[in-house]
Amino acid sequence: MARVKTGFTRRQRHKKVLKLTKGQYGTRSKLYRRANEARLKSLWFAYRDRRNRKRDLRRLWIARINAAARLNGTTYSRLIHAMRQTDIIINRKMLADMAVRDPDAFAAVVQQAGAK
Amino acid sequence: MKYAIVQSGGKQYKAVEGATIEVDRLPLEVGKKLDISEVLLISDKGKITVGTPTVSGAKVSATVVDQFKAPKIIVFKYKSRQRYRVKQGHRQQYTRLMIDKITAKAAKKQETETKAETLEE
Repeated sequence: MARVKTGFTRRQRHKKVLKLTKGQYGTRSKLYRRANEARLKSLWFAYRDRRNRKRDLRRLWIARINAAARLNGTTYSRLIHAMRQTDIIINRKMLADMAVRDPDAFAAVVQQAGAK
Repeated sequence: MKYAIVQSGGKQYKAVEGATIEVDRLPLEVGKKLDISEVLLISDKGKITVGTPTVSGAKVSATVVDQFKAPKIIVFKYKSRQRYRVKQGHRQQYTRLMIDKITAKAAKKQETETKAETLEE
């Protein structure tokens, strides 16, 4: 079989990868092999961490809600329970936002839910 | 500041009059108006109405100002030593809404005192 020369194609392929890993540490932005490994990892981590981000934020919100709830003389778990009982369906994202930006509104929710 | 917490596409947003919110795509043309009746909370100059689960009679009027796509995300699934790789682009579609008016409606309202009782502890 005739030998296939890959000069141009290979260079294009390598350039494509190196363009993606620009700015990475050391050889990861300079050598094709290392860059290619870095590319696989970073794209995969990005995919995974978009999912993890949802958990991370939820945790953060819960921590904030708990802090605000304790200022109102209750706790996170009591508040959530009371909200379920009274059909208040404001989610954790909004509650956390209120806890920070509008503590009075948060207090009103606590009162409406009857959490003690 | 007057604002309301509204629900659209299973997600909740803080709607402020005269500001925009970005919700998951709604099949409406640009310029169309719509009313969101899933209002979970209204705050009007310190007067707070909490809905159970929604504030009855309340609505938020909005105008569709834009239908747009978010920046491209590269979906890359990869399993080491399995030769498994999937690469796919994705652009989430959103609708940008201008919040025109938040109507509380006097009909049936549960008002809660909002004096700061937070500092007791």
